[in-house]
Amino acid sequence: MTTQNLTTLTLAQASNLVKTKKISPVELTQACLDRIDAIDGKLNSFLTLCPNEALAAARYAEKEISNGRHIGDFHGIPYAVKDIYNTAGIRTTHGSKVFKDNVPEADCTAVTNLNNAGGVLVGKNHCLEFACGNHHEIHGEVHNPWNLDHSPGGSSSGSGASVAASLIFGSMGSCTGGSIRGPASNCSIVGHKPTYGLVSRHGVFPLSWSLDHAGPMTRTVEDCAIMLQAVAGYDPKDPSSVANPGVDYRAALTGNIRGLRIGVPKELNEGCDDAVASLIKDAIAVLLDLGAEIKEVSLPIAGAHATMAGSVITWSEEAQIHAPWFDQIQDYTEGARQKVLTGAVVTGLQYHKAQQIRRMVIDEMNDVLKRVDLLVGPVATSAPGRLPTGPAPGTKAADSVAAERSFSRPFNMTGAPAVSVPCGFTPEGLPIGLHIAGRFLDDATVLRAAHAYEQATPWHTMHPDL
Amino acid sequence: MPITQRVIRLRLQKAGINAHEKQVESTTEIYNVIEEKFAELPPAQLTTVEPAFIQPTRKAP
Repeated sequence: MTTQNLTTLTLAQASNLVKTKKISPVELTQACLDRIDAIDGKLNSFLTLCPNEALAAARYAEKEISNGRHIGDFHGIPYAVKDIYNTAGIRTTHGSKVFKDNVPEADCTAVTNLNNAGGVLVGKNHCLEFACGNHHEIHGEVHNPWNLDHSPGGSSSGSGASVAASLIFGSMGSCTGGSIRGPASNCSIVGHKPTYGLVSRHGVFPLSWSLDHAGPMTRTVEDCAIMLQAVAGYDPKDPSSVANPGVDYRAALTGNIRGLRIGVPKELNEGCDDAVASLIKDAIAVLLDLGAEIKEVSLPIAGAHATMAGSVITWSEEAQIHAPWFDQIQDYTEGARQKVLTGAVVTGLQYHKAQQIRRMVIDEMNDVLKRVDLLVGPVATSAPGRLPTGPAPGTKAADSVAAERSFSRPFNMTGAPAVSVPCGFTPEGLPIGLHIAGRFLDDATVLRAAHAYEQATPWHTMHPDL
Repeated sequence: MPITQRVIRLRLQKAGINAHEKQVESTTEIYNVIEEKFAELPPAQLTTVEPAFIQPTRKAP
């Protein structure tokens, strides 16, 4: 197999070949490193690589497997993490200038879990500064592999771009309002925001304690299930950690969604451009063909108020998180700095009101999810925008804040699981994702529906021409 | 009544942040957008709504 043939295997295919000793973790890891070397100059999706550590881990995995100690589906699989995940002895910049030389002493729990599952950490993916700002000029822009002039989305931009370009089999992203599903949609990969607390956030630089989620980004749903299985679990170091429900996520991908009741919330489907609306309509028709029941439902509070309330919660918590670095605020990108400044002036009254709105969104969502099993719609109203991102010249930041409508943020407010799965391309060849969300701790049903849809469509078999 | 740049500047200074004038201006404008949006849900409509806050700690099984 050529390097490209190896890296374009799905994680599940690579896993099966490693398990049966047809390829070695060292070959896989070297193939990823070679492809990163050949392609990433176009994408800028990695900030730091750790080839020596990766090859040492791969050699260890190879030895264990050859001695009959294969420990699971993630054993010997090369992976990456967004550069806000602490990695012992490996630079962790948070996409910033302030932390450009930061080298943590310990791994975050997610990296510990993935390494304990036999994974091979290859490097740290570029991201928006502090998972919320812009790409810092000292690190440069990240480019969308489907069209280098367009954005891969954020904030897990490098994770999305590197997975889509087959530089790596999976990457861990983080999501406070849509930072896993957005890049997944923009890059035509699968991005899963698990139930709040299912994956430990310990050692992942926070943006908002009460809204942050850590989750896998991969090329297929099956790959996502494998990575989620390896990383999920109770962690006493994370105060929001949930007890592992003991679900086999890969086994849950039965392909059968007959009889599932799928709601289409009208407020989270409004205002899309024609190309997005058409692709989502086609995707819902596929779900119907697969035997799901489709019903229109309404989430008026989520539609009207979740975006602003989520922003207020995020910015307020973010300001407190960044208080130790207020004296370096002028080294931040404009996007991150503005959020911190706003959070610093938000009042207690506004923060509590935002949390009251959050309660209303949770109650409204729970009520609807008594009548349907899942909710579907677009991840975003339009296709990936052109680089550079940010407000158009002459536009005020306040105008962008007033106009923002997020289809993904309501599910950060509720903590419920939600995934983006590729659902086609606009006439310009830009990817769009289908958003599927479910009940708290029912990640398995969300992934089951995403997998059934994926297998009925060709999008996951397509690769960008790089 | 919209908040003024003077008040926002003072709040930022009180927090220990030295912001440039343009940054004070944009922060003031965003603050007032938040106020306008939140005015759509007056406090009287929220009297029985308990805030969600951070989700509670759960114990391992």
